[in-house]
Amino acid sequence: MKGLLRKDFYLLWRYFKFYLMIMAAVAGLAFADSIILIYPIFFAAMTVVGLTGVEEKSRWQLYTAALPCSRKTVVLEKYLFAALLLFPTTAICFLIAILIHFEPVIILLNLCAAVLLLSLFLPVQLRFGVERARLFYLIIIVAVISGFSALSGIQEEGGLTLPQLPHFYPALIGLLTALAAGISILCAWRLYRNKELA
Amino acid sequence: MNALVIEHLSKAYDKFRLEDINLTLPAGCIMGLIGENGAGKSTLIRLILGAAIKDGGAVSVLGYPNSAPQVKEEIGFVADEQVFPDRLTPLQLGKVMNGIYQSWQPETYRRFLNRFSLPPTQEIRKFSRGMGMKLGLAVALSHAPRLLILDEATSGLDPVAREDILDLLYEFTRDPDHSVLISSHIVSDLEKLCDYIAFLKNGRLMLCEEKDRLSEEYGLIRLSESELSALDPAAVVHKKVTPYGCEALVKRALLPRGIKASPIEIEELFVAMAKEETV
Repeated sequence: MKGLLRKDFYLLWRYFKFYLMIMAAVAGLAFADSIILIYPIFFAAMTVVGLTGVEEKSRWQLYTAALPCSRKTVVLEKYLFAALLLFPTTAICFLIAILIHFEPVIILLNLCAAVLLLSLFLPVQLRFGVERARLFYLIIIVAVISGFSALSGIQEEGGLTLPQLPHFYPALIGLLTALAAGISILCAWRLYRNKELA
Repeated sequence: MNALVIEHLSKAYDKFRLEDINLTLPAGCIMGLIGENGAGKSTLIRLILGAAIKDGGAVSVLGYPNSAPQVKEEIGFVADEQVFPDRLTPLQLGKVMNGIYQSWQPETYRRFLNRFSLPPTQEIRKFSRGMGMKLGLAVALSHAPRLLILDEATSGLDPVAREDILDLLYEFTRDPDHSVLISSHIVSDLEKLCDYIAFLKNGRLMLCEEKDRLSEEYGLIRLSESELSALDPAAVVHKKVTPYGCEALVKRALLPRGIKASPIEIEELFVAMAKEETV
């Protein structure tokens, strides 16, 4: 696990300058437009997906079959790496949000959205690879956008009244996100354990 | 102790099937895996490593099932092309492997990098194919493996790089506990190196024999067509008709007394078996 994590962080380092630039730009621009704070967390989530693609390009997955680490470890490492990237990014965004008096709860909800996105993407990408997963991403994005536009259309016509959210809704969303991540890990492992590595 | 035992191994894909493979590689020996493109060499290696999921049969490595985690500590693998994330440098790769293998030997790895003149801080993506293969070997040999598996590791390399790799394999097998399974198209390399030859054709293992026994068992004869047709059909593995008569690859044991077969090179045997056409 330690070696696999080290490999991902070395790969991340190659993109780290870009990552730092984005964080600096976000920190600067957030004072003008605070909504920009939602991007770094998604960027971190997409970095995890991107690095999995880099590995696939070099056929690293085949090599992992020869390494003394189980397929379960390979899957768990990806989620642990995602956590190690997402949580510090969220912490930085959270601090900036406090500094500029932006609602910190939005940052936490943003983290939940990024985790949900990864929970959907990682099992598919680990099992089917980047090319085939792209189609899945497209379907998800189209479904989400269509869903939102349909919902707002109905709402504008006065046909839909959204229920009042309970005051503890951030905690509820956090709990549901953790549950989704757990299910995602199980799915990823089940999908990856019988994968033909080539 | 056997380094590798494969029993009734099978794997079916849509358009390809590896059927009932049985072979044994004794410890301390080098086995060459020969076959045309698509014969199943890489599939067999992937099954041994557990990268492909077998449909049936069993693979044991150094006395353990190939799925046992401790087995992987003992296997060094070199793929047919560069398989390391190419944005890493050899130095970083060494640190990655140090966190993966319990038996990782940083000093051995550093020595191999020096020996192969591999720049430790240059990104792997800038390496030539030969350098990539040498890096693969450096990694494979730096965690004290007892079984080395090489998939077409010498293909596409210039003669000097190939010679370097073959020299290293000779060194590795000086230890009687070390074994090698190597697949290659370059039969002359295997002929020099191997104790055993396994020949795959269309997913079936046609033979798996000690190299020295192959020349005892098979031979070449030159006869007229009528003389050849008088032989036991089982004796003739392959025949080639020329304007001057027939040239046939035969099993010496099935030849009638008085007919002497001349020795055959492994490469000739491989080509003949690949084009097998029993009379």
